Amino acid sequence: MTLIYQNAAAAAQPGTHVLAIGVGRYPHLLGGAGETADRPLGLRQLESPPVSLKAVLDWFLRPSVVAGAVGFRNPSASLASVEALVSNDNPFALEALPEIPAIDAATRNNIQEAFEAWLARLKSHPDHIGVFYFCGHGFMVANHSLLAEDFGHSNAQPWAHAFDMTNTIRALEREVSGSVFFFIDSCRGIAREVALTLGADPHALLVADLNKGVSRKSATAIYATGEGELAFAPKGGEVSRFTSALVCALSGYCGVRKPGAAAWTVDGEGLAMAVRLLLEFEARARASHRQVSDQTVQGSPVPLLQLAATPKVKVWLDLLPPERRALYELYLKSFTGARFAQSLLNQVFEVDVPRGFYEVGAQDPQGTLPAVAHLQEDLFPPVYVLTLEA
Amino acid sequence: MKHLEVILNYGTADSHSTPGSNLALPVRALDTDGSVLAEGVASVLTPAVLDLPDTTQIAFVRLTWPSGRTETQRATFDEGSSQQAVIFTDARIYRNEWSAWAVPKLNPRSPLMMSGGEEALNLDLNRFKRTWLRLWKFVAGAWTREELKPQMSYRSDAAWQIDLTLESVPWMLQIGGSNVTWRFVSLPGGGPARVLMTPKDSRDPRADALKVVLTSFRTDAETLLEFLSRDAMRAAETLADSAALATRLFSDKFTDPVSALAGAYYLLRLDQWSRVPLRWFENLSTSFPWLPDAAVIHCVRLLRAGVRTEDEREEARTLLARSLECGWPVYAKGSLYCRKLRRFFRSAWLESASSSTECAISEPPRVGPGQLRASMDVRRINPVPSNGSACRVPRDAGDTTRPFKTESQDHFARPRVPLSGGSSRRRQKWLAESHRCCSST
Repeated sequence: MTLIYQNAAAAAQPGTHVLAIGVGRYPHLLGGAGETADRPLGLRQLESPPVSLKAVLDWFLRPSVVAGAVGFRNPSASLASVEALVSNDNPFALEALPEIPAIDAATRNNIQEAFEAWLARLKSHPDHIGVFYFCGHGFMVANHSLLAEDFGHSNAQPWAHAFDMTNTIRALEREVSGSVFFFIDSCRGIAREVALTLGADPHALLVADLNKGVSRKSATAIYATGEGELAFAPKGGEVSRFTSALVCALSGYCGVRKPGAAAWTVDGEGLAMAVRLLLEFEARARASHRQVSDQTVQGSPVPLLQLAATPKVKVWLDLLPPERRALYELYLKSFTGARFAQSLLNQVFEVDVPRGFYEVGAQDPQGTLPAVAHLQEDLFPPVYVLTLEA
Repeated sequence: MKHLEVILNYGTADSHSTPGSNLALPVRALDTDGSVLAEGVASVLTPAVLDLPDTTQIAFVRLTWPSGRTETQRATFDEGSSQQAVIFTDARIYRNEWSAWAVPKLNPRSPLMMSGGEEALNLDLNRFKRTWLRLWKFVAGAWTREELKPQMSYRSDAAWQIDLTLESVPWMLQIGGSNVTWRFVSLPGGGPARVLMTPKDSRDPRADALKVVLTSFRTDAETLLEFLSRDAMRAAETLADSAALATRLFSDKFTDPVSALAGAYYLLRLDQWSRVPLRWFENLSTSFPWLPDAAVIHCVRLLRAGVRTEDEREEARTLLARSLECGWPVYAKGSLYCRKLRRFFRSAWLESASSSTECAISEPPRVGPGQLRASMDVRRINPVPSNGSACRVPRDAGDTTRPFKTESQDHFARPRVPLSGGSSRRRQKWLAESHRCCSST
């Protein structure tokens, strides 16, 4: 099965419909269990996609199982359905829905069927929101193509079991009236072998009917990396860098409260910026394999999330010279009165605080060393990095 | 309600001879927890007046530059007071008065700023002394070399600036050298243009060694596009005042077609193209055939609305072909649309198109001997300037006549042609695309 969650009660209301795909097992690529394709493009098996998919699905589903849990929340378009496909050698289980039966494999045919079912639901209401998530192999020529599990099955049609994501997005814009968010966690490196073949381009999941005008309200596509670049995941089967940043951003590390509004809203622009900054923050100590997300945001902003709580900021506060750290208290004092501090420790002060305006500084509890203070700092999600000098 | 006046006192922008003479920037009043209390637009000519809730005691006013940099000031309402004002000045943010206009367009950590620059950044322009500039002009279907003769030139240890006056045709500034990425920068024709070059303003190893900032003294249009280029939709929306600014820029197309492009790009980006009649797009493309952007914009507008007849499809094809035959788009957005449309047409209709249209879409414009072969075909470009033609970076502060070279500002078009200094992946991608285009003919 692919439909793992459906809220039938919300069918007549605007809802959020999710299609999430994780492909880690590629039998016809290097190291796979099947016959290796003649042209595997140098691609191997992936550990991260099933784990990343799990992180995304748990995030969406958790609040529907445990009230108040961190996860998807949008009273204007509550979670209406979740469709998933996974290709993995190990059993796939979700914390949020431990009882679900086995999820179908992410073959090209299954992806097509799941996409069409998801699209049909998305078209059933003009204010539905669609979320398309993919984690697995991808490549670029002129367009961005994503690889299904059975990629490489046919050597006569070597790219047949991939699909053209660029044209899929273009086509979708003319079919739906609501808003769509695409989160694409894959490489976008250039595949010269694909470029040097004729008449074998991967097909889109949907053909663009150019008789129709663009009808969607907004479309946000956030890519794990820029055109021609690679995306990365930690070794050992952990959540990929991009998905980790995405789930973190969605979990309360971005949002804007507009004048007179009760809730903090997260739209494509805010989410894309938060993901990019979180990737940068995560990579601050890494010298190589830097990864910078890419995005396109079209149309009028439509919120994906509406949060009741004030967004959080990851604070990274240091003091130089290092030998002074253990002599000082590092602190953040909010204009609302809250105070966060770390005293006399020889380490960077890392803490999550609600967004807002703060006095940020370092002071000697003994009162002998000079104090350092930034009196009016705007702590804007998702991260705040500052090095004080004493 | 309490009223908060936000004044933009940019001294360098109070003269109509400077690019920022009508600079307008989005401002927001925020609560202590960062909630937006009110938002508006403050310009050099007109302060913003923000209405705040009666309960407001402290508000933080955030000014956002096109570069993304923000500056925040606190406004405190005394007991019984219902009015307050904050003033943003530029007196402390630039190193040289002549380069002040460019600072809001640069990275927040630009070395051109008096404070906030990173000390470790090497600002010494002399290390680019082997960099050269060439000016190209598109006339009669070909790019031809023009002598670069700046009307005015300024130079400091961190930046070099030239002023040009360009007639109404497409222009390209070519930048090359032994230690910079070779590239072309599209210059806006039809009036004055100012080009500022400065060493890169970030530690990002992928950033080009030289940063180029351009202005055509169309502050409203350029500011709008700069926000859009960063996907800062909220700021752009605030600035555009619910698309009124964009519509006004577009409506003035016969007076200033280049600014009209910015208005049209905004309306397309925000899906508000139906606010204006189709004939505006038609007039723009037919009245200004020398502007590739105009044809691109018209083509995108037709496709957005849907093309239901063969005549409409042919018109869209013709518009794209025309845009590819008349130079290079002024704005980066036009260049991006061009690339997307080229891929789009190839997969959608190319097989069924007439052979002449097919050629026009798939082949770069032809040029004669001694001319630039085509801006898109990097392999045909002579990689070494001929003797005496290279314009070197002036080493002396007093040298204000010889041109120099560098990269471009994001919202002005830069052909994505990875030259010798580009990354191998970008080159591969370009070559892959080139191959695919050739294979379709």
